[in-house]
Amino acid sequence: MSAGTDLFQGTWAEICWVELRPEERAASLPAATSEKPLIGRVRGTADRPVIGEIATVVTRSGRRVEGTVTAILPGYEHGFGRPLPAWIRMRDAIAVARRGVTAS
Amino acid sequence: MSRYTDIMSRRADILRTATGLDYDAFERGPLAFDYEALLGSTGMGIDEVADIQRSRGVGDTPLIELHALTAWVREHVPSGKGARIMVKDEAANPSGSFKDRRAVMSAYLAHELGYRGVVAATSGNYGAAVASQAAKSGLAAIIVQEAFDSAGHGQPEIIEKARKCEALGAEVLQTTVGPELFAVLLSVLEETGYYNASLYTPMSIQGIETLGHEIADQVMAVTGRQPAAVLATHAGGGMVTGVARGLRAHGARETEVVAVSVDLAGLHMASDADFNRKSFTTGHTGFSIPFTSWPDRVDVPRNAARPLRYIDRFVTVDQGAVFFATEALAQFEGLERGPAGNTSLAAALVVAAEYDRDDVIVVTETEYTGAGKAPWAQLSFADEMGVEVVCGGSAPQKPGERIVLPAGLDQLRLSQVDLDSVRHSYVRAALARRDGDLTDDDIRFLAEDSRATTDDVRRHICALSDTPVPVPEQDSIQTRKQI
Repeated sequence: MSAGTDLFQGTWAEICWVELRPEERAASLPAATSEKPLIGRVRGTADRPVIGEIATVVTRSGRRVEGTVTAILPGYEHGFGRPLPAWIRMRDAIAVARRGVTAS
Repeated sequence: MSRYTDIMSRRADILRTATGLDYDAFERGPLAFDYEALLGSTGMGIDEVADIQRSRGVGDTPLIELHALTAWVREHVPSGKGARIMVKDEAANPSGSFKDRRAVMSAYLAHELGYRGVVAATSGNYGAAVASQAAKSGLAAIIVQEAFDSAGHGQPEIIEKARKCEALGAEVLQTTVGPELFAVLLSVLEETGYYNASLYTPMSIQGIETLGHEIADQVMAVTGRQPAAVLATHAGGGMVTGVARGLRAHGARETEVVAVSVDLAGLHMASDADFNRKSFTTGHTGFSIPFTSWPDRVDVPRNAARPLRYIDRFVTVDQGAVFFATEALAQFEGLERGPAGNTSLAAALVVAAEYDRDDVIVVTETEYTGAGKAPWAQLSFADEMGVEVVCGGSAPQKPGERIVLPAGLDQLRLSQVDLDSVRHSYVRAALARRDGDLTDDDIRFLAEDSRATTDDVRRHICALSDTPVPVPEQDSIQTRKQI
């Protein structure tokens, strides 16, 4: 089966895995980091992935990576946020200043 | 042997295969290497680099004069002072930042050398730039990102960069916090045989030289003079190095090169707990202080970005000042742009007062903005992570704990980084890495590399030679002198 065929089969999913266990991590890390495993995460196409189960995905570059399925058809949830009162104060202070300035 | 130490033990071989460059050929002694020969190893001049960039839609970006911001600054400065402020609109590049100038050269070289794909370790705009140029060259791209903490929270700006990489066809491999990202990069390079599109290769730095050259060219066309100063947001040192070299290539030897970073003193860059308590993912002191003090801490044997060679002045601004500059750029100039270049814009709004009215100072870059990158996204995320956000008042800024948004132009502050202190740290870091007795050639190299005299270097060595210490992190550098 060619990589090209692989790419168009299965379901788009996200997996994660333990890249390094805490005892395998680099020396001289802060405690907050060294006591945690280094986790890897990637998205790719898998054959009937089920959240929480092990699956092998084929990534966009054609690599095969095994891990635990964390999301099916994962998207992006980040946005523009919301204005904080302090930001509104700053915005309005700048707006007042702008009205007083004539660019030459 | 753990997987980590196993892959790290093969580091030199993996990098040699993945860069197509034998760095050993440039070594001259325990510490010295031939920097100009390394930069010249591409065999290309600035015109050839510009041609390659132009053929791929990179560079030749507009230089925009910020008339209203300049007029505002002049209301606050003595008569006759207040330089004209201009900004290079690097957001006009294909993937929305100056990083396209670097990525285009990596993709060009990877293609020329016959690699089938490129890999880059970056949480910044460089990932999107590599993805974009790989797409244009028909190469596969894998971007390795430090993206989230152990609780699974992703920094919104980094998540946006992951989205953009994916939109441009790249595979995005994300990790939790830690410097072992480098081992993950090595592992992917070994598995795929792809090119290491490092930010720190000679090609990558040459790609930035066109930016400095264009700035000098465009300012000269408008004013008949070279810019008095160029302000560059400073992290890994590439921007400062490349821009300074490009200015010199144009003949702008008197132009002051000002490096500007966001002050994140107190936050540890390898800390899982601190990772999401900063509002800026690059252009900050967590990178710039260690990279300026010792550049060879990167994903290639020798870093072609050597900022101490080129920085005339090094200042920091706080996070609040950058949000202020971002909003002022929108309201005064109608330009909604991303955070990175606004670090140096914040500094420009202060240092313009030091220059005469007919001087020009240039902010080297803008970047694209949007979801995850916009001020609201950053500030509401900071709020969710427990960082206090206030406007004005007397409470001080404290990275990771409190962001103070200025309520007026007169509340913007700079801190001057003591370059002699950075040089001292540089020599200390060099001594910690020496392997054998230093030669006169090494001493000359250290002097060149830190823009010091050989006598200065010898004085530092005498003071430090019996006390080898670890490479300094940002907090050991004096930055508290308020301007």
